[in-house]
Amino acid sequence: MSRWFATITDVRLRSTDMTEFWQALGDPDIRFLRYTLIIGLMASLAFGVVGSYVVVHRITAIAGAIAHCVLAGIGAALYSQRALGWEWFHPMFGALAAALVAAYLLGLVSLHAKEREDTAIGALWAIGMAIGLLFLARTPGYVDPMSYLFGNILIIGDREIWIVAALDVLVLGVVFANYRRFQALCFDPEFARLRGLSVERYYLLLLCLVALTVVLLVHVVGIVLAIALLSIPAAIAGRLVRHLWQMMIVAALLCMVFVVGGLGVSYRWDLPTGPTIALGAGIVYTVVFVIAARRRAGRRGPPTQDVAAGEAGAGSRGA
Amino acid sequence: MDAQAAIAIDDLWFSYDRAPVLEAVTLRVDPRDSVCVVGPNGGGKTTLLKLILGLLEPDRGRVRVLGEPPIRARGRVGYVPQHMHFDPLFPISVLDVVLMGRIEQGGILRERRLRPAAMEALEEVGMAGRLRSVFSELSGGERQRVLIARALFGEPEILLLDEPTAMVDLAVESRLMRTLKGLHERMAIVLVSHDLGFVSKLVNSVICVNRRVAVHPTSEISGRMIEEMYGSDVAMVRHDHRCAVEEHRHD
Repeated sequence: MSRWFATITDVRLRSTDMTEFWQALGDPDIRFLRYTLIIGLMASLAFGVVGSYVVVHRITAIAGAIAHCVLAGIGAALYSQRALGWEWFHPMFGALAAALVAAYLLGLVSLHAKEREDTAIGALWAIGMAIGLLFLARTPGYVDPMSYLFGNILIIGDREIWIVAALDVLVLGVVFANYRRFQALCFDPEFARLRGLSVERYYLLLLCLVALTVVLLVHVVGIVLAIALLSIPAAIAGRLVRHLWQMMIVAALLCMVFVVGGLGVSYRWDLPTGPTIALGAGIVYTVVFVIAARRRAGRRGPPTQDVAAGEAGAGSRGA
Repeated sequence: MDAQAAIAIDDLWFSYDRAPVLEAVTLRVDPRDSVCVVGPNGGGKTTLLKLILGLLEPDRGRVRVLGEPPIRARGRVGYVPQHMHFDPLFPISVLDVVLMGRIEQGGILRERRLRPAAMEALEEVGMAGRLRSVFSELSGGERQRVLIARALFGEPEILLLDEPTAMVDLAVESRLMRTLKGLHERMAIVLVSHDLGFVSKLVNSVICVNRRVAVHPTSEISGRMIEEMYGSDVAMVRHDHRCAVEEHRHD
């Protein structure tokens, strides 16, 4: 692994223990670290809240497709900035636009093409990435797609913080105003429709929230790994709580722990931040589920194929 | 006439693809009536229910619910879906499920005012003590009662229940029936069921659905009719796909 931090900054990063991570956070010369932490903590709120809906409504696959389509917008924005001279077209605006378009298209597909939903999701997923990569290939100068796919905290500045803060407030505000409606949509859409709820409209709105949320962490964990923080904290939280709102709080806290822990570890051992955060979350997730499965098996006697099949079925039903 | 009927269906035809699922259906359910819809799987029971709820549009014919097109009457209809259709991992409390019954009046801030009515609905089905419980941790019969409370919370004039007794044991069944008996003074009840045996005590007429529809007052349900519908053994109230139109001459 190359010197992830040290090669790009001239700051001395050969820290020897974690306390230096906390000191570094206060260091005015390495602002990006503090910025990353602020963005990570803010975004965790939206990730915990929206992620809970994603998990209970089983739309992880659609959320993944939306996230990948974001690359098309980032590519288009960078191309416009450098080839066309549209300086105002920040990559995050491109990401936002692409995410919303993808959410809308995927929403329509899943509402109206029930039988072939998974195929359409896969196709849009690939189309979005292909568009993004072609734009990046034609963009003058070198752009590393890795920065956007897997995150690069070094490109975080003041502008990114304000965009993230605004989006975060927007997402949380919409959820607060519609908490019950989204809950009804996820729990029993047919009944919600019978009670006069416009199920299609709220489903599309929920997917738009997913789109906004994914964009929040595009610099920290990247679009490919964002899905880990959207689904894993909520999935773990779902095992621990009894109510949806509790699930949201616990998921947000877990997300914060993963972001801070991953950032600290990546700093301490000089590793790329996005993958470290995602892998940390993944390890905790695996451990929690192994423990839960063993406990259940212990209660029922020796593990049977039934238990394993039930677990797999519950986990893999994406949409 | 139609304005007075809870449900009035006139020469209705419906198909998903080509083959008709329902043919020339005409029936009428009066207010305060209790009817049971029976028929083999795939015979069109669920389709009929969805047409009454306005979730499907008929190819031909007309459905009127409380004198209105089904979609406009939805707010006055209480729907109780099958309890096994729910995600067992969904974290939601009994009270939250019941509050869904008036989702259209939504808003977290207005919720406090709705709570007493939600509690009343839970009391009516004998589940007031469990309002903080998690829905998925309840037994099948308890879940069914909570779903009934959710429908009652919307103050319906018609109650539609889809297979309320599927997967619940006999004691639970009779408990459910007592709950429904208390309600049929106030509203029309339409019950979809496999088991005619025990619902016949509750309902006034039986609607047999198997592509075509035949309606029988309960008084007409003789041993012979049940025999024809269910095979020879009346004690075994399993439906056995013999609910064909040809076998509905009971006069």
